[in-house]
Amino acid sequence: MLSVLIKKELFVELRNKEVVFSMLAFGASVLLIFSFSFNGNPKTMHEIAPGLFWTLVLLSSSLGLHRMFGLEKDFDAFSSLIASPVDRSIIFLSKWISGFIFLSITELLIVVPFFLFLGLSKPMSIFPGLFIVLSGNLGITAVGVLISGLAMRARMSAVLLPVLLFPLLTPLLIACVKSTAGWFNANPLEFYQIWVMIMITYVVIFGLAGFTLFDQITEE
Amino acid sequence: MSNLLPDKISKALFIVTAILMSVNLYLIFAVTPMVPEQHWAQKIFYVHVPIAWSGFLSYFIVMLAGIMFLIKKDSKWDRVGLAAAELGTMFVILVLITGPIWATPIWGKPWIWEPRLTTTLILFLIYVGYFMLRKFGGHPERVSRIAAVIGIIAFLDVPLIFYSVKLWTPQFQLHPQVEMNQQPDGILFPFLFSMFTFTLLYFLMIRIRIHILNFKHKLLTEENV
Amino acid sequence: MLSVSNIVKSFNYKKILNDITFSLSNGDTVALLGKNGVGKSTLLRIIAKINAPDNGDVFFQNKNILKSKSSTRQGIYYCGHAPGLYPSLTAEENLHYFSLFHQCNPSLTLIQTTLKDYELSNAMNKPVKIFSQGMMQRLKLAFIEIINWKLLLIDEPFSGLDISGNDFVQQKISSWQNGERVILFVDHNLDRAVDISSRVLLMDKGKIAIDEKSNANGLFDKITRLMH
Repeated sequence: MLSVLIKKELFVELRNKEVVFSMLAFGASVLLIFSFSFNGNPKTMHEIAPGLFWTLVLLSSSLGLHRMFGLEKDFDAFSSLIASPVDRSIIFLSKWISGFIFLSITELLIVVPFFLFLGLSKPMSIFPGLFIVLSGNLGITAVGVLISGLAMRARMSAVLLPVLLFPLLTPLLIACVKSTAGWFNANPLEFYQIWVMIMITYVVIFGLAGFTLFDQITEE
Repeated sequence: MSNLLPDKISKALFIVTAILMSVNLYLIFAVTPMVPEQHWAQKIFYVHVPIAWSGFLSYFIVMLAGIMFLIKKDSKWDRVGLAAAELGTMFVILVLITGPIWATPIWGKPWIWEPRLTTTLILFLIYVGYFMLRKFGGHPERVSRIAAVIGIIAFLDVPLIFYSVKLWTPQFQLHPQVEMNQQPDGILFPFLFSMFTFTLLYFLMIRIRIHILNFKHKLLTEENV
Repeated sequence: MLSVSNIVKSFNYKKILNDITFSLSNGDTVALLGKNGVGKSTLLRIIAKINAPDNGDVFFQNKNILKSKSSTRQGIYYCGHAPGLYPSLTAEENLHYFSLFHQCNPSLTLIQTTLKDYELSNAMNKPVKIFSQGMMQRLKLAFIEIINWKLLLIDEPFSGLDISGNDFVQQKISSWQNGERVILFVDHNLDRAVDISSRVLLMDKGKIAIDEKSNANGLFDKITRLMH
């Protein structure tokens, strides 16, 4: 059932391109603002780049997550979905995984202009960075799907989502920025592995929380 | 007053807390020794720490009440959670006020990204969202379940926030470490006494608050019959 | 087959459903009647586990579906007010996914013949967001044909249909009932509802006020008295 649900998520997105496109367009405009607001020398830019990157990701992801559940709400497809005999924890997993895929695709498309516009030099190795970014995405989408799922059932969801999501994400954000900085400065892994550990802990805790609690928030 | 203290336990708790709190204030202002470098500023520590403890205890109770509500589906637990969230937030605001009052003379500036203070601030911000949801989210019955889930995940986040902020700012390990057994008795005893008194005060307050919320619920339900 | 016990549900401290209890057995086609805002839709949504009651239980085939695994709800199909579909997917794609969610895998020919029967063959490959209200209603009903169910919860099956559509659906509802299934539907047209159903449940002030066979003597008078 999980694969059917994920296929549905990806298929709807392929048809609409709404989630990825809104994150991308929003991300690009934030990037533009960054380029003008932080017009510093290359050294300063290099120092603040990890923070800027994750700020960009966080802002766009809250928009995309909101859209992901907005699509379910438009024609009330979500009611039909939860009325069917499918485990709601599995629905959470499908949303989590597909949200993770959408966010990763968006980042893939935004990362080249990010380096270009902010005048950053290319990092030495790709793999540690890739691992950090993907774990960060998993954490963001785990909490994000849970929070946007519960915000969807309330009024003012567009405001509630970031207000609740950002403070909850602070530990993950700190870990993401620190480990990205470690990788960016080509530090050996031992220097920042503690942050990677925090990221993984975060993913595990909130993945499990979402898996167990999602059932409680789907019903009105 | 008797309306607010419906049963014997609350009445007894009120009397005991009133007496102990008077003693507590006397101890803090008149009995405890002055710490040489901090002078009067140190006195706030007898209030700041018990308040912080009560605030976190309260948020812990929000989580427990949330779990109970999700299992039992009894709106009584929703009111316990709401009462604890309100009191917790009130205490946390006091922590965020008393912290800088102490920090201004001692650290030379009111705010430093220190783990305990930062964790408190982040929790406070999560609870801003919690109360926005309670206020604007829609039917109270619909919102109660969402609020329970937020109460649970907010507390799950506490150790992660604390630990990551601690690692994030190793230069700011200025917060007095609570290694109480190294403190002289003149400070240790009044401190523990204050902790105990504030905990009693907290339990008295939450009893009253739950009582009021139950009463309000009863009135609103009867109004609609 | 379906047994609903002591359902309570409040909105804004007002008990919309106050201790709803009834049970339905195989072969029942039940009209759920009541004034606007009495909670008919909410009751259907509680049985479908879309809304959560404050209290009470729902048993389907002797299993408490509110407290057991989701698989115990297999066989319940809910067709609500809203389209309940993915707007950007076509009629056929929506059918494909929702049948999979309900653990059935209909053949393409079944989908095609059914959509033809419901006068939707031309719209089969169009996204449902461009459907008119009547088309949407017919598509929702076509789902009922394709998905395997034992208990059908249907909220206002006749809304958005013209006269010919009305007759068509009336005839469909009786063809869906094979003696083994339960159909619970909400309708505002009393004559029609009593006509189609074998049994009538009428909700009033949060309770079931009437629970009788549709051919019972004096039923119609009783209903009209409570509805005014």
